[in-house]
Amino acid sequence: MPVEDRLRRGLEANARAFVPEGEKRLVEVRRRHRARTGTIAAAMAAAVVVGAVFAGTLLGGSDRSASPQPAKGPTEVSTSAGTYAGPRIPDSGWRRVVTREQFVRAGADRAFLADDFGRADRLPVTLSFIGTVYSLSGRYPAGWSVGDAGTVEYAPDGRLQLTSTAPGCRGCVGSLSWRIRGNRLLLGGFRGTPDDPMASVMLEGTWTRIGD
Amino acid sequence: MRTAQDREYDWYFRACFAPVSRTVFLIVHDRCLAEDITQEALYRMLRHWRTVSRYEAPDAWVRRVAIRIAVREVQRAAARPVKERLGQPAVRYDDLPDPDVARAVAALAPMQRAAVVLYYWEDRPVAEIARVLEVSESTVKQHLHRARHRLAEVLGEEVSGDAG
Repeated sequence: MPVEDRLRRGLEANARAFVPEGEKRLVEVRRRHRARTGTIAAAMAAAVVVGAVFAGTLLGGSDRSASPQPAKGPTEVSTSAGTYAGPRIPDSGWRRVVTREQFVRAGADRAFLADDFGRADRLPVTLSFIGTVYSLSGRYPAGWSVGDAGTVEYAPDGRLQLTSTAPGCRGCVGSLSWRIRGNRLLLGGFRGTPDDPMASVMLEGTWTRIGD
Repeated sequence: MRTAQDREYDWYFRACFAPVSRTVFLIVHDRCLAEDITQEALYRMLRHWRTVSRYEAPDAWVRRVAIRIAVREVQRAAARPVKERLGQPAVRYDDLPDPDVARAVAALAPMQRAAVVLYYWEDRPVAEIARVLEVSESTVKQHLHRARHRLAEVLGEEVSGDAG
């Protein structure tokens, strides 16, 4: 085996085996934060439900001769319109490689290709999810650089919604369907506001889990 | 109340900590030292945040600082007298998935070590490695060339023509 291949494999294996204590602590902090936020949200929802039921009982009780009214308040809360309670993407890092050809096919201009690829044909990309934030980094000719970052939300139908907070496109929203199969994350059905074919090329596809 | 600046720093801290620690670990082969060096680099970023936050890629700045500290640490360790080194806890290479590669890389000179890690683990171009290590591109190529031959010999692998 060429020594270059051996080195790449060995260094990758050794690096992946190293999980910094700081990273473990960050995961713990995020887990506690999520648990606390979830508890507070559940408590508030319960308080609203109880309050609405109590109010409904009082109003219903004030006019006993009237026909019973449907308790609108609690019903609206329990449907939790606009929220998504299904599975979410866990805190994790994912990587894939996009190619110059994919971007050319999507209509990328020369300036975009020069900035992102230089003379290379491949661009390794890393996508990280930490709590309610994400970051998308590309290994550009000048080194690793943050390509995009922002917040993660889920639509009521479970679609992933990424809202950029990066200066390049602050407030841009990309929505994708997603599923995790083993150590693969599949992103597809990109819908962007505004529409962005380059973001679609960057995000859609199969991602491989890194770290962990 | 946390400012937007604090949040931005936090974001970079979270984004940088693990990847930078891993690269530093491959150079110093010491878990605690790798974390200390990364934290030192992040602390320096915090200290110079007003300036660094204006850079195009503050994370690249952190990586560069951390790698330079790591190389200095390795150089300092190599310069210690043998007796002093014996007093230090031994690195447990056998805990790693590929102890042979770790041992072989650890036997390289500090700058060769850093060049190998940046080139083969981080896939950095030679020009960028030269900037990080503050040497010329031809020096980086020379480090890589020598390191490749040394590693091929130690690992019993063949050397093929490779860039750099």
